[in-house]
Amino acid sequence: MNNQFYREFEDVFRGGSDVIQNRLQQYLPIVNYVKESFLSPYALDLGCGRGEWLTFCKNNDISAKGIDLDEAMLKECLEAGFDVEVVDALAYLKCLDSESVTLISSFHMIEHLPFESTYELIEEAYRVLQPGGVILLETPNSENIIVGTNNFYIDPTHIKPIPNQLLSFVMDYLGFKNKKVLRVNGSNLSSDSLLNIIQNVSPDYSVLGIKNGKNIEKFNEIYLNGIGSSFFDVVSEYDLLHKKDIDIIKNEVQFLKNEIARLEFEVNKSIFDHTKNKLKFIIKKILSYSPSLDAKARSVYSRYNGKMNDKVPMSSVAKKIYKKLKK
Amino acid sequence: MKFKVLVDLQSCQSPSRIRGIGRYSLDLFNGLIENENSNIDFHLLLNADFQSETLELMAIFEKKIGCSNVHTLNCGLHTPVLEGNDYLYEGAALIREEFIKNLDPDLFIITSFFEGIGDMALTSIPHIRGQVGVILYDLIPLLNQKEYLINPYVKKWYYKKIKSLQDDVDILFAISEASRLEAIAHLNIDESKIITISSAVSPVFQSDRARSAVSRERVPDADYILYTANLDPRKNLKGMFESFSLLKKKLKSSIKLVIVSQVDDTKMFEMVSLARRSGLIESDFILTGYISDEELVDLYSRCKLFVFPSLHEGFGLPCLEAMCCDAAVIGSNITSIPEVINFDEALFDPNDPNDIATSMFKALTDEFFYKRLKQNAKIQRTQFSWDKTCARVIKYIETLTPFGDSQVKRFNLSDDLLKRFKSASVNYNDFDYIKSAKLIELLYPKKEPNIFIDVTAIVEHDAKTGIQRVVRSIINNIPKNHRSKVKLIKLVGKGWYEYATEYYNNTIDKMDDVGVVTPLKGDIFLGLDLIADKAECAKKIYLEWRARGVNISIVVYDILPVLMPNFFHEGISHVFPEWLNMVTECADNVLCISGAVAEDYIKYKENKDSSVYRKLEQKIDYFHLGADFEQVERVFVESFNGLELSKTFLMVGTIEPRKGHLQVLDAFEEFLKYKTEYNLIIVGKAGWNSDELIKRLKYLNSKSGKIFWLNNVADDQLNILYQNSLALIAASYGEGFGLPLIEAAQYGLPIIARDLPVFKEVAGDNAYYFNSKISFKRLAEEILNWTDLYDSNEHIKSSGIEYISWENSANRLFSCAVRSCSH
Repeated sequence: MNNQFYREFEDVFRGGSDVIQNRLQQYLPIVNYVKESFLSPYALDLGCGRGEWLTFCKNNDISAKGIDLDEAMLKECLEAGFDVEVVDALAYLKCLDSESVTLISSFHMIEHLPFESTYELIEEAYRVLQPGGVILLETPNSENIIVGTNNFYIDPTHIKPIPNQLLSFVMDYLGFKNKKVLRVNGSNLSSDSLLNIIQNVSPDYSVLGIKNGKNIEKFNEIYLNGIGSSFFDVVSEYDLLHKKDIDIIKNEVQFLKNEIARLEFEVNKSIFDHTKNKLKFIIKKILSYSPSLDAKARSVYSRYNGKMNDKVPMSSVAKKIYKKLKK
Repeated sequence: MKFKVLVDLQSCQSPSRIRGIGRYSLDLFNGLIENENSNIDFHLLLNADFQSETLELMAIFEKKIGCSNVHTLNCGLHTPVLEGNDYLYEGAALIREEFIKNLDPDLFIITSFFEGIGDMALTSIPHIRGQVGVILYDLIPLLNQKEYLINPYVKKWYYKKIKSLQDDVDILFAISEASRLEAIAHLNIDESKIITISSAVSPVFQSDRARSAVSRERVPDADYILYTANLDPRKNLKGMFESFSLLKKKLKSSIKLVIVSQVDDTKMFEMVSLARRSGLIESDFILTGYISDEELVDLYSRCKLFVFPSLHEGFGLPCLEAMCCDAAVIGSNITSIPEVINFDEALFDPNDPNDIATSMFKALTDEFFYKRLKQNAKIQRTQFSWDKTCARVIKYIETLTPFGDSQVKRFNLSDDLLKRFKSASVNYNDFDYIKSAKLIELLYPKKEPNIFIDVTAIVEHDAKTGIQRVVRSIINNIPKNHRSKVKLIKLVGKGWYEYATEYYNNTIDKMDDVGVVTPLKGDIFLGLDLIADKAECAKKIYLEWRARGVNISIVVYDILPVLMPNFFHEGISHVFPEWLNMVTECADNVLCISGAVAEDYIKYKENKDSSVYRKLEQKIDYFHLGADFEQVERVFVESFNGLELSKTFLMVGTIEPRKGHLQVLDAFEEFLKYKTEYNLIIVGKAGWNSDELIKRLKYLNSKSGKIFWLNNVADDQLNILYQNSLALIAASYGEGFGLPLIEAAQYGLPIIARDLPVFKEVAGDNAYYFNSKISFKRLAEEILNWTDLYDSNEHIKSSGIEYISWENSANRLFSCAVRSCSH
């Protein structure tokens, strides 16, 4: 695989320099931290590629050095006047003095390394960083299922995705403090479609760690609320939203059910009333047509009325009379 | 001393009422009571077992002769003759006779003696010290036994009746000379004991009456001969058809035969087949079926000739009706018909179809004869009138002398009746005895009428509602002169009223009455408690009582559930219309608690569809509720719950949508934007459909510091609020009365009220009114305006509001309820 291929590949899949520059804005708090905590901070970017991070440092008045193995990519950096070298990152770290660098970063590089090299790289970085110095590692976020199952493998030089839990653990293990996991480079589409939900999980993440030092409190204050969306965040939000929808629908269905029952009742009642009225009308009609039938009907009704009164018990006066009658 | 005549009008109640007999009885009685002789006092006797007819007749005659002269009696023990009532008849008759004896008439007239074959009518001759008179129509069954006395029950009953006519009746009033002669000949009755009073047509048949346009669909304009007949053999329909068939052959011009056949369809088919057998074809004749009086008048007036070939009549009223409508009339030469037609040439032998046909032919072709027939009609119709007929009865009465009031009225079962009843009731079962005992109870009037007050709901459960407060207050303030008459009663679930003995003992005095309540004629029922859910049952009872002569008064607190159903619980808005319906049908007196409610009721009644059947008069009156204030010491309190009372408005009343709290809250919050120093205290229990409002009030309680809701306030606390607040806001959308306004006035608290008619009625010019349909923003402006007036001491003071005590309220209620029953 020649270098030119990879250069063009990067352009297509990682995005143009300006897009990336834009994305880097999210790291401004780190840069500010570094600037505020160190008089003359010095940044080292491993796998600096087209020099986006170097540009970002330069724009923020931090002197920085980049290293990369891809000469073709470095060409741009050289043209821009950056301090870059073609050298293996691990080998380079190894030859650096301890506590000589303020900020070590690496964007989308460790997924190209075997795990042992990553491990060693972090171990070396710890040694090289000044107390209060910061490490920043960005890599694809396999929580995003499109990234984890497909997009990660688009790049043939990727080895295997590194879950953020693993990277965090390694950093912990190797002495970094107060590490922070940031979900980055994501979009923020509305969460009403499943596709958007899947896409909303940040495609990359980065882990920040600090080497124990006097500035640790200041470091703690950045990214207090985290950034980006984890798989959990997004799916919970989706669930919540849909639970709400489902609740609304459930209520609506219940309401409609009640409404149907009520209407059914009313229809039945009105049919009943209608029939009753109709019957009343017909009877009335028949009776009006035939006074003799009407007279008979009234007489029958009177007797019925009288019969109903038989149920009423005797009053105390009637009881006395009853006793007299029967004596 | 007045001569007392009691007239039995069962003939206007039994199925006879649709026949000639019913019409005759009604016209006669109407004529009698309109007579000039003021020394005769007419009383009416009805059979309350025919309930709807009783109420109809009461509606007509109570106005004319007074409630106290209308008497009703149940004959419930009796059964129709056709059902073999022998063993019950005598006992039932005894009970009835006892009642009549107690009424003690100088003359008792039975308008129709032969009643009760297929119904509950009971006619027997009572043994009274006055005379008994019977209207005699005819003796047709006696003289035509093969046709009319086939059923052995009927035959036995008829003979018994005839015997009674012969032995027990003092005077027979025959409706025609022919009937009188028949009676003398066949009943062996002394001539002095029977007089002819004759008959007359109903006013509707007077030809000079303007005739309403009636449908001529049944009988189109053409020459026709008219006869009014049914299938009764004596009506000689066969002879009519046969003679018409003969006439047709002789007559050159065409003419139709129209039969006014007031019978059902099946009988009409028989008539048609009879006509065919007599040689007629369909186009020859028309059978009208049932028709109205107006149509009949029209038919009489248009006919070419009226022919009356009847074989036996008591009077022959159709002949006279036809003559009253200027018809040319020819008829039979036997029984009463010659009396009515009174023109020998116009008579024929009804048994000879040829003779009938000849007469008809002559009438239709001999112009001179026809003119004389017309002339005769003009003369004859002046010979008969109800005035003349009634004058004959009156003349007879004037030969008698009244007994006067010497006879002692009975108030309970006499030994004499007991003895006779025992011998009459040997075959009675227990059930018959119970029925008899109940009927006997109704016989005797009480020395003093009772006032029965319905306290059903409050006895069941005193929920301390507004209505129950009224019920309690009225009961505690029964006027002294009525106190001994008052009985408290309750409607029990099974469908009758019982004495509320326990409640009476706890509220008024000791009362011995227990068990089922039996009000009698002259008693007063006062529906004080609202029993909206029992309307159907109550209606049955009240109608029965009314037919018995009990005066029904019902208190109407408001008709808001009908006017504004949205403001009421479904249960109430569902049952209330039925209750109100019951009131419109049953109440003689509708007693509203304010003029405004009376207005509402009158409007409601006007707009009601006419399906409600009540012919009896209904009086609508109102009484104001009372208010009794104990002298409460004035307590000056500056603040309450931290609110400065002199800047606090007050609302008092249950929290429910009708009371207008929501609007006042909205308005007050708006008002507070301009005048922050004011407060609002709302006093009232949470009522129906108030969840949202209560939530808001609770929130305001905890947050606003300006608006407070007090759920439960003791009387003394409420007094303090009334005494020290700034003003009362009465914002209800509908009320029956306005007690809070009066309470506020009592403490000199100014009032801001919605301009409901009832509030204006209660408070007059002594309250500040805002328009009923105002928005909350406008209401806020009104409150603002009021505070401005108040600040310059130009606000309207409430001290001028007048109110009455509960004692006066009760006095007024009782006088309304009692007044109406005296005629």
